[in-house]
Amino acid sequence: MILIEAKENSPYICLDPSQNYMIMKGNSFMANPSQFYSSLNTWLMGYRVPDGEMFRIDITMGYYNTSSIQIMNLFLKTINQNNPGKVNLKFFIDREEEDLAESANTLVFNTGLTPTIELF
Amino acid sequence: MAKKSDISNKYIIYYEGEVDEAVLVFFIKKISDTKLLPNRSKSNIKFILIELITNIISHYSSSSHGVISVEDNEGQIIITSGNYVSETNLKRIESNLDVVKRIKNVKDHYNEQLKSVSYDKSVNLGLIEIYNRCKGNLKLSSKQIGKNLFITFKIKLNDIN
Repeated sequence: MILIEAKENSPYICLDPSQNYMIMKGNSFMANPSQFYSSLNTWLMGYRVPDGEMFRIDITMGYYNTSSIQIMNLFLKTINQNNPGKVNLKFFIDREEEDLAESANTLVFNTGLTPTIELF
Repeated sequence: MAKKSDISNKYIIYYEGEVDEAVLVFFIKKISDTKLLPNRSKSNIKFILIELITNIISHYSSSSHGVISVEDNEGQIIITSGNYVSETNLKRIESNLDVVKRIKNVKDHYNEQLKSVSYDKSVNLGLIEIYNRCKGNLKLSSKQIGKNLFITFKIKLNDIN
């Protein structure tokens, strides 16, 4: 289980492999995102979704810098490559923040995942 | 933190001093809270500031001192940032900007660069992001101050309404 509290420039993350679930919420524009996301990437390398189960990722979009985009894009690509057909991705996007939908598209670009999108 | 804001009618925000993550958070909050700009413009300004300021924090040389401002110039938003850089970084930025200026479809170029990212290789997408958001209205200048180089980005956003 990985639990990271949100700050103004870094997201809340709750990753619970026992429930096959990860939630991520908020901004990601810290100066050193590779350090911030290192625990997620370490976990990712050894993780496989159990047979017959699905892993669910819910991301509530905030403002991301391009360094964070690269890391999360690679994270999503890798989890999908390691667990083909077993990852459900859902974005939650503030309907008054049009540009965040564009950021969500960039996050998922070339990952092989087809997210569902819910506006709020 | 040495902060100045609203120093004249045209400045939405002005800052001069040490640049760190607290300054970045301050700018983003200030732009989010201002009632002087429509949401769409705020979003563009925030994305540009995020790239400019994280770049200063990550790549400054000799001093993290910087100048950052957002001003309203009769309906046109001008974002300016200045900071000290090494000669190597200045050459890298000038070279990257020359490449981006020659690209016909900046968004496609961004996506191609993103495709090439791996655990061993990151790419510099910040300049491409800024260039795309200001539609190429970006000027880069530099000057020698004593032994140091000071680089300035001036970015214009039209049609803010």
